[in-house]
Amino acid sequence: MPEKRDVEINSRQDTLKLITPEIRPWPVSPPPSPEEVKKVYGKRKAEEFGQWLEDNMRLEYSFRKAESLQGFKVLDIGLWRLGHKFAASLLGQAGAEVIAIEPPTGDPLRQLTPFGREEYMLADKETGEKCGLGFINEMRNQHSITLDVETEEGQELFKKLAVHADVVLDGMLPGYMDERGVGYRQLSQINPRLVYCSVALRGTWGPMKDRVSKFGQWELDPFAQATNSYAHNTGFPQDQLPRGKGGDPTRAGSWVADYIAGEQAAVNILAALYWRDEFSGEGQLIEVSSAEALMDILDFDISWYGFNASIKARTGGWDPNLNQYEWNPCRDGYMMIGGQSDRLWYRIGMCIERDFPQFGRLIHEDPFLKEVGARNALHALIKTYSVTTRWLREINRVEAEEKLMDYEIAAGPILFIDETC
Amino acid sequence: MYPCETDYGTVLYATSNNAFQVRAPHRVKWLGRRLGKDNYEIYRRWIGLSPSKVDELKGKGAI
Repeated sequence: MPEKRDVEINSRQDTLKLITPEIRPWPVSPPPSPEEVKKVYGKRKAEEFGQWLEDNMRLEYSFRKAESLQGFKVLDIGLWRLGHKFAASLLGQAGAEVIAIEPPTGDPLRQLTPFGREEYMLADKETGEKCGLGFINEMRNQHSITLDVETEEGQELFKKLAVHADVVLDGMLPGYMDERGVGYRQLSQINPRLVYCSVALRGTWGPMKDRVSKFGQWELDPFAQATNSYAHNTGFPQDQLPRGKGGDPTRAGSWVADYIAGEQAAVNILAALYWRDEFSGEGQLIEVSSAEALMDILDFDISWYGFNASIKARTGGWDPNLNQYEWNPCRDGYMMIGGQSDRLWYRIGMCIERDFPQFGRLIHEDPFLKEVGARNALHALIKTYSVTTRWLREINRVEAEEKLMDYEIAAGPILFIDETC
Repeated sequence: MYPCETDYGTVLYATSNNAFQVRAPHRVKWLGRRLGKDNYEIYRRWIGLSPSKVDELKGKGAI
């Protein structure tokens, strides 16, 4: 954690001086030393276990260890999307040899940069060619080659490469590869052991697959977020904190649908390879789509709808199942407070009461809030969090964390990326 | 988070949490590469194309 600072923010002007390199050095704060970590294990009387982990698990040692997918070969072809790229880099990090295939003009993702600003792109040391940060990050452990599957010679080359591949990842539009004679149906003739995984957005087959792409357009991740209720229940409702600022469905901070689809594609592929090598000797076609991948992690929303046609609303940072379990604004950011049991409910109150005695009267002595289940009613959430925020707004994240930890309450400040390590 | 030397200079990246396995951990060996950097190597090693053949196909627009 960074050291405690007194911060007064009255306007945007005041926030600018908080983000100078002196205060937030680059690169970020270094990870704790083994000696510091030792003390943490010491508290639990687990020094021996801690030492064993230090001796065996450190990141630096990973480079001299074996690789689980050594010898496996992966071809990755696709444009615009991160799903197939992420899956390919996961397999690459596990030791597979991954070849990323781009058309001679390159993946348009290379050109994507925040606010379209070229100064945020990085230039290749040899050629000076610029590339966006996102693409550089997603190309982990991937070799880069060019190949145009639009041309006949390109298709022949692709087939020759696919003969040697264990896995082909297809991030092209639905049916694109098949139409050019290099889809699963054709490739499995020449390489029956091939595991072919198509990572699509709204399906490779099915009624929605061509909604947009039939007009020659690519639809990207946010369409997947919009297609299921993921976007619908992310964000603030109209009447919640910050007051008057809520209302709109909110995009997740990254292309989360593609990342989840990529992760699931990688899991599918690993299982398919295991099944091929251990049991059947056959490859197979796998279809993963971003929209469906998100449906998988939508918690109980679908069951709830099936139960009584309820459509779960956006609740911002609030968990509708738990009180208290959310972050609220404090003086220099946001503070996550977690107390999922009756015991913790009262301990949070005991902690806050030290500075803000009214908390006990308003919350603990409210007869409605005595019962655990009742605390999750909307007005109960609003009351609890409003009064908690009344306490938090006077203190910084570090102070709030220390105070809550004194009472053994799970407390985690919302950290900026340079505060993580 | 770790700095990584790449073709594009030093880039800070977050290591995957798959990187912590006792026997066979995952690891990041490099980040992005420029377009077609491995053309000669991969086409030679995978399907035995000579560099001049690669250049020829490049001229035709297939690579």
